[in-house]
Amino acid sequence: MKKIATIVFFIILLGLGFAYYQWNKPKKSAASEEVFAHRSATDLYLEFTSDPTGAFQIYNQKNVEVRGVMDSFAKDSLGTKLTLRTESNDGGVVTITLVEEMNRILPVIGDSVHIRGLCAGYIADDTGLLGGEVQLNQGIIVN
Amino acid sequence: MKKYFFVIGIFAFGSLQMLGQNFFTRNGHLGFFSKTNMEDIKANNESVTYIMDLTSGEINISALQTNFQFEKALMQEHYNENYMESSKYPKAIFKGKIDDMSKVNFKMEGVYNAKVSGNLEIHGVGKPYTVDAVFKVGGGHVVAETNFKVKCADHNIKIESSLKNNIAETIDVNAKADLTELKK
Repeated sequence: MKKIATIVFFIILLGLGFAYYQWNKPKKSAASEEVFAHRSATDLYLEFTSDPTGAFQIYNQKNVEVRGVMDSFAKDSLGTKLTLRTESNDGGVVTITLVEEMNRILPVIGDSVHIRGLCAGYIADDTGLLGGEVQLNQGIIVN
Repeated sequence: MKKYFFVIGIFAFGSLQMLGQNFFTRNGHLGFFSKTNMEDIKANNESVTYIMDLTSGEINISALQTNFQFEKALMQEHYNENYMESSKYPKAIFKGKIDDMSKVNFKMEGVYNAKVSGNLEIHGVGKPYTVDAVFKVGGGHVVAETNFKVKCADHNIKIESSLKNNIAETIDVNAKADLTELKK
C-alpha cells in the first residue's frame, strides 16, 4: 500500500513539474531555433507571391535567415521592426520584428544585413497600391 | 488681404493634395483582451497593415494571426493551434468603409467620430460589423482608432467546455493605426 502511495505521489509530482514547465516555457525565437533556410529578401518574397499557400506551408514558424538591404525601421511596444526592400516590381518588402533585448546595435538604412526570424506569413496587397509583405518575428541580427 | 488669400490658398492646396490619396501603415496595432474570473488573456500585434482611401473612406486591414504576441508561449501555441487554426486560416481581414463621409473632413485638422461598416473575416468566417471609430487628422497623419467586441461563436471559434471559465465568450478588440501618405 505504501509502495502504491509513493508511486502515485511521484506521478503527481511529475505531472505538476510538466505543467509548471509548460506554463513557463520560453517563447521560441530565432536565437533558439535551428535555421531552416537561407534566402535573399527578394527570393523569399517572390516565393510567397508566386504561391502564397505553398510557401506558407513550407515556412510557417520556421527560422529563416534573410539577407537584404535595410529600408526602414520602426519601434513599438513589441520591439523593433526592420524592413528589408526587395527587387520585386510591386514594392513588396520583408519585415522582421526583433527580440529587443538581444539586439543592441541596429543597422542603418541602406546597410546590407543578415537577419534571422520565425516566419509568420505573408500579407498580400489586395489593393495593388502598396506591395505585399512577408513577416518574420522573434528575430535576431546575424551581422 | 493678400496675406489671407495666401493662407487660404495654402489650405486649399493642402486639401486638394490630401483628397484622392491613400494613407497607410505596415505597423498598425491590433490587440484583444479576454477577461474572466479565472484569467485575463491579452495579445497584441503591431505589424498590421492598414490602407485607407481618404476620398471614398474605404479601409483595408490585414493581420497575421501568428504575429499576435501573448505573455506566455503556451497561450500563443493554444491560440494558433487550437482556436485560430492559423496554419489553415493565417489572416484576419477587415474590408470596410466610413458610413458617412460628411462626418469626417480629412482636409482639416481635427478629431472626428464616425461609424465604419464592413466585413471582418477571422478563422475563415466573415461577419458584417459596424463600429464607432475616431479619426485624428493633423500634421500629415491620420490616426484611426476603434474598440469593439467579437463573439467567438460568430467566427466558429470553439472553446472546450473545460476552458469556458478561462476564455471569455466575447473578446474586447482594440485597433489603432497612425497612417501616412502612400507615395508611389
